[in-house]
Amino acid sequence: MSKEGVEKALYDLNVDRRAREAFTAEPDRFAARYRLTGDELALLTERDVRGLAARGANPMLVWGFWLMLPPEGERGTPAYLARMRSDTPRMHDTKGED
Amino acid sequence: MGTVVGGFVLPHDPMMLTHPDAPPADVRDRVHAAYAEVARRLAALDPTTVVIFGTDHYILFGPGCLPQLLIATGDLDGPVERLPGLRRGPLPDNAPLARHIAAHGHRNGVDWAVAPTFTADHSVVLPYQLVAAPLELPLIPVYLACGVEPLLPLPRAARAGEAVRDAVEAAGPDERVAVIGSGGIGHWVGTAEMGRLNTGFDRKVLDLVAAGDTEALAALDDAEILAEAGNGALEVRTFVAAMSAVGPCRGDVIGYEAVPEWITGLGFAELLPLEAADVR
Repeated sequence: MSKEGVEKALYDLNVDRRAREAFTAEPDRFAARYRLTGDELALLTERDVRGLAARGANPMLVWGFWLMLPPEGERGTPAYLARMRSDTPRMHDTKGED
Repeated sequence: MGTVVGGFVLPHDPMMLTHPDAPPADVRDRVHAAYAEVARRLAALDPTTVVIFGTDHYILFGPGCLPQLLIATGDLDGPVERLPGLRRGPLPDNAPLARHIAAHGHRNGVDWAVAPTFTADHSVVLPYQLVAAPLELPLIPVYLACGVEPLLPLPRAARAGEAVRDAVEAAGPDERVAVIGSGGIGHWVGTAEMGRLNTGFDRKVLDLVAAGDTEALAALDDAEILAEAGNGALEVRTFVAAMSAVGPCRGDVIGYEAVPEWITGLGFAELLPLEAADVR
């Protein structure tokens, strides 16, 4: 479990179009490149922004990730805040190991 | 010797561009009027160069390298982000003065990271375009670690401003430098509290700016800033640096708007060197 690895992945997804394409096309291969665990990859693929923030990822990176790679049917800041403020914990909402 | 002829603090809110019509029209008008007033006052200083203290938003610098203090010393362009109405393009530089500031700092214990070529983000380019571009002023971007750990300690932001002033005063006599501290006051960026404001904190900061109390501003506690006014308020480092660069000063508050639609407390002030303030 590495906050730094997650932040590196988020940073690259936010600033590098090729990283976004690689993540979208082959998430597992993308995860391997950043040494992400399955749990960490799930935070990304599920756009679990609340879970990412709970793991200590910088909120500017998390918001940027949402804006660059919004989930289907959810776009923009209101949807982001709805996820961040959700009272219903998602599966990756708490700190912990795989 | 060169002179820091004056300075300003102001915001760099990108939501002004991405969501221009979100706030009520009178609020928008007052914000734009404040930028216009800063532009007018900046022109009146007749500067030869503007130094803008900005802050990275985890866009320019990644986990591979996170500078505490960075000065751009050569070719400039920006902004790095795609923002409506802010097309990326070259920006005028004053590379000789920027290199002088960096070298002067290095000789005097200030460990500037240097960027001989640099693409600035909106924290520098947005205010530049609104207040300095009409003057075609050469620009020197200075970045302070305000948003990403490890943060630049606030007292070191003051030292960075002093280092700019010391270097300018050791430069050629034709250098007339204006400085700008670019940052929002209270705002939460990317957190669940995003959109929350704290006008009491904002007013406290502007009161310290008005009083020219750089020491008190630099003595604020990061944990308290974070709790009271959000992660974005850590950008107050840019205000501290600009005030220190001007030296003993008082602030003339030009405008303040708390704009929840733009998620930020927006404060504008001119930093008047004490001798100039006495004249007014």
